[in-house]
Amino acid sequence: MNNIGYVLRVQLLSAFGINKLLHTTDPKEKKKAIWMGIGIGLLAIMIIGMSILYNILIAVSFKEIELVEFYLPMVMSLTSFIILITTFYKAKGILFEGKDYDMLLALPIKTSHIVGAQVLYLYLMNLLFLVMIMIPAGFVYGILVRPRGIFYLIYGMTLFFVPLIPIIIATFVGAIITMITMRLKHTNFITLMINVVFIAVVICMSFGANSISEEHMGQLGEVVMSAINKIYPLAQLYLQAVCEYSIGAALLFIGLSVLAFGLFVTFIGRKFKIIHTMLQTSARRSQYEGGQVKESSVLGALYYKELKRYFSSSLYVMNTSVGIIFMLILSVSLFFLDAIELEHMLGINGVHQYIAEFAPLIASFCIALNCTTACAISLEGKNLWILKSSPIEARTIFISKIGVQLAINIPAILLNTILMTIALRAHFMQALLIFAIPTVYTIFIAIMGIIINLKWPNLEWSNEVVVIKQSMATLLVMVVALISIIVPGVLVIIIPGVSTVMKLIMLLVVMIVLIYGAYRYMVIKGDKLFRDL
Amino acid sequence: MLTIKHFSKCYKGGKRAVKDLNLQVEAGDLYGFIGHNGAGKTTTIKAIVGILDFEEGDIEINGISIQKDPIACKRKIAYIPDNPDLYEHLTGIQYLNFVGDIFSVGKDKREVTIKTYGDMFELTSSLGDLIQSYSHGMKQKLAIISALLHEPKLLILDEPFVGLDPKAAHTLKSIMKELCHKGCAIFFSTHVLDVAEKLCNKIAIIKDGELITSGAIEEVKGNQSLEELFLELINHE
Repeated sequence: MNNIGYVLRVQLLSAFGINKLLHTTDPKEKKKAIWMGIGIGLLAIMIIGMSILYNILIAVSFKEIELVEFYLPMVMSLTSFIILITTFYKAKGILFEGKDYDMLLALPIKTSHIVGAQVLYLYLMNLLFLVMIMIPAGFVYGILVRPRGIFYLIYGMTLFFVPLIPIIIATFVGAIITMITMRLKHTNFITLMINVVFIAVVICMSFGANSISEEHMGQLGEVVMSAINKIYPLAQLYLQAVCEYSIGAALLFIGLSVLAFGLFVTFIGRKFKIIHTMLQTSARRSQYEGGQVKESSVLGALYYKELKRYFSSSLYVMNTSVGIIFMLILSVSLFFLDAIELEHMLGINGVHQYIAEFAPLIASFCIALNCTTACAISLEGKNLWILKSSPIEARTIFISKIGVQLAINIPAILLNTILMTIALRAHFMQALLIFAIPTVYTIFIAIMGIIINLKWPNLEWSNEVVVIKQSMATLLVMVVALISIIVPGVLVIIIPGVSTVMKLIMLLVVMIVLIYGAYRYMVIKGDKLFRDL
Repeated sequence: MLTIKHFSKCYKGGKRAVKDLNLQVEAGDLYGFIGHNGAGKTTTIKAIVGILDFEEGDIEINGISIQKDPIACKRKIAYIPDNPDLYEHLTGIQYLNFVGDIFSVGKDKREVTIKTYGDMFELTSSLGDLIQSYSHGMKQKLAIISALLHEPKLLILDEPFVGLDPKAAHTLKSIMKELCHKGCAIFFSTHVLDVAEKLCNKIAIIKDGELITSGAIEEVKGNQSLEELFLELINHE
């Protein structure tokens, strides 16, 4: 194995706490590992199940309008788009902010090899999207279209090269933004604003690409391909490779991806030390002369500290606000588009009749997947001694962390409520539910995030990406969030004889009871769990 | 001030870090805690300040058990770890305000203490900068200032002189003597036997989790130097 392999192996062992689990001799930790495996398995099954369902709906929609050949390029473009967004805001953290870089750079390893290992790590993490989205899509396409045998060869060949270009774009843009902003004052704030704008623009562009107006229906094929190409220009090449069985196109697609990847790694390898050095050396800016001494309550002090921590990391902010951005774009879209146009954008037939009724659940789905507390304990890391040696009740610490989640989500929920109420012409009770249900979900998930992170902490990390995006706690909170939305959501849809409003009110009551139970558990058991950290 | 009674700590996997430790630190004591690497010093210190939970024995601060009423105990103590990992996303003054708020230190008192110790450690002008930009020594100084904000009755330090320049180390020693003179008790671990010999009125030597000797420094070391005593005890036990 060469140096890239050695560095990559160490990275992979730290992901998801794998190495700790492999080497622990504590039977409790081993039991935890089993539960974690079950949790991950459940999450994977749920996500793949949802993916298969979505793929079937889209594929059938395409088949009905006799455009099934555009289905796989569209799925590939969508996967690339997801990889682009998710890689974009973690690229800086993985590439430039590893706490082990000082050690690695002092070793006889080429800088380009260190960078290569990080980019490969990004690539391997993104393979999950291939498993979740593209493999089910290939499976569905195979059943619907019954293509020639060569399809499976070409599809399999090109599959593993799909993430390369989106990773390059995301990390390149992330690197450029880093290089520009690191020379500025208020680096974190500017980086954050750029990240938010970038994500919002990309989401809006994808929505715009998906919308097809009535007068274009006659040239539907060209319009659809043009729309897909707007998301991902290599889609045309991919279509020729996979759906028209062109080996030449497949090799060109693979060749372009590999060439671009190689050039990119070389470029970043050359600039890496400069960027890393600049990021490590923060210039002294101020000459303190007194006068900034302020007094606050204990909870106020903790809350202020938590907010500063939250906004100091663009990765932390982006990872816990993509759902909010999506929710707000959706509600703004409702404001300007009618439900049928929105249905075209989402690509699901017949969804327009449900948007108004289930707006509270749609908003809750977006909100519930944003959980700042899932990694809030882990992020204390080596700073934990400060809280543990201070005269503070554990409950106060937990409340300060939950406060950050509420500070981020509640204003977004309020804005969403106003937009949806006006756009959907909701009556008073519906408007109340559009506000209340996402609010109870955000409180519930915030508390669950604390409980789960106390049970599955990771205080020994060298890169915050590991705890923010790849920790067991984050995964398990996602499982809980999905189950807590999907199960009641399905029940609300299928239970007959009761109005949707009444069913949503009952859901609200159930959630309030769950919040009370979770809070009591957090306060009673959480104290012991915190002391055991 | 500090009473450790039959304290034992076993880590997961059966590794015994400390066995049946008994110690008493009185007000005004400058107590040195000495031992080789892995002897159990940091484990003991972390248990005293409430970072590490334990099942055997008890630790009392002014008669209050750290297990039964940790908040009351922590109000009286201040802790400075060997590696001061502070909140890098805060400025120095923001961190001091944070600690001041946790210990409910009034604004006026805070200002005076920060100015006094900030000037003594020549850190005042850097308090407006992010802790991220501080050197190890600067973080150590900031941690010391934060520990002194609320006038603790018991100061616990783990290897306090590591990373400090000679002037700062001298300043810290002066502060420690002054605090003890005012009735504060100081309990600190160190590898630097010279410092312990010159500074402390009492010492305890720990080896492989067990207390070998403790008491007034003159009685413990007799006519030998502390280094000679330490090596003799470590090699012969």
